[in-house]
Amino acid sequence: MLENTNLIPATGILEPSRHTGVAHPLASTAANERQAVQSVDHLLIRRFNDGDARAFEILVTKYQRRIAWLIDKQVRNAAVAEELTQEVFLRVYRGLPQFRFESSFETWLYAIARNFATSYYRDGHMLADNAVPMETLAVSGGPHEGAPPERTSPSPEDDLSGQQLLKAILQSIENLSPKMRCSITMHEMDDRSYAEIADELHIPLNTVRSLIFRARATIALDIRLLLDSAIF
Amino acid sequence: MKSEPKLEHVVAVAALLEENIDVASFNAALQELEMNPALMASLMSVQFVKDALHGNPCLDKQYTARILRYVAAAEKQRIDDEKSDE
Repeated sequence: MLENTNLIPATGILEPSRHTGVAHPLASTAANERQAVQSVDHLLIRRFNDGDARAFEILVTKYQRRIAWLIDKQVRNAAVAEELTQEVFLRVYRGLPQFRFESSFETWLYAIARNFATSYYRDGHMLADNAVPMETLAVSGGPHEGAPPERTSPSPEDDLSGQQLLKAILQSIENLSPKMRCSITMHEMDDRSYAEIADELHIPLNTVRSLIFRARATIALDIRLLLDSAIF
Repeated sequence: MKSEPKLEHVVAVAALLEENIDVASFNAALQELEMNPALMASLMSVQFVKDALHGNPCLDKQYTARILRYVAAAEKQRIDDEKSDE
């Protein structure tokens, strides 16, 4: 087990001593609820603090890959990155009741992850000679040339699965309607906002959102069987 | 044999992966998940698609499940330790 102390980020978002009970988040009127657009993460945190464990699972699903990637970029070891990622989410689990909603969950989460990765070095851990960075596990990168086999390196089967999945995603995008294909490509691959896409394609903002939502769901369903065998 | 999730249901729960949401849609998505827990796998699939299209298609091999098990075990240990301290 890695020991990490004093890892509360310096953002001041967490302040345990002030946690004297969180006001019920959904205590607004029904009319306000219909109109109010809020941070999904903040709503999930409030649900979790009200006792809904699934809300935490959704937060983990949403961020675990990004956090593992962020940590791995610093520690350059997939096994350590996974262990630190678990520690990060344990810290998050224990810290959520004190979350103050003054900043985004993502900012807070990334600060915790960076602190864990930094403390890993501060405490004297060194990069193992045979470490395999996480990008070598990804479809786009191959194992580093000359890197010795290591237990976290992708098996030929995993590598094949990854390539098949990426190919299936791209094929699924090709099969989408032109507007759907254009919207999701602009949003996910070109980092364009919904508003920018709406402006460029001359379609309403809500239509863009709907097109992208449906595109993602369609792709997810298209690759479901392949993904089931690969990661679930 | 698993039944195929319906597109509309996947679209509804995938809204939870967005940055912002109206509270009504949020509650509807969670209700959808509660009625059909198998949609959690669809949620993971959609997140995988999002991450993959942003250049992070890491095959995590039950990474989420392992994190949840790790947290559960650590919490159990903490509670046991607190009890033994008492």
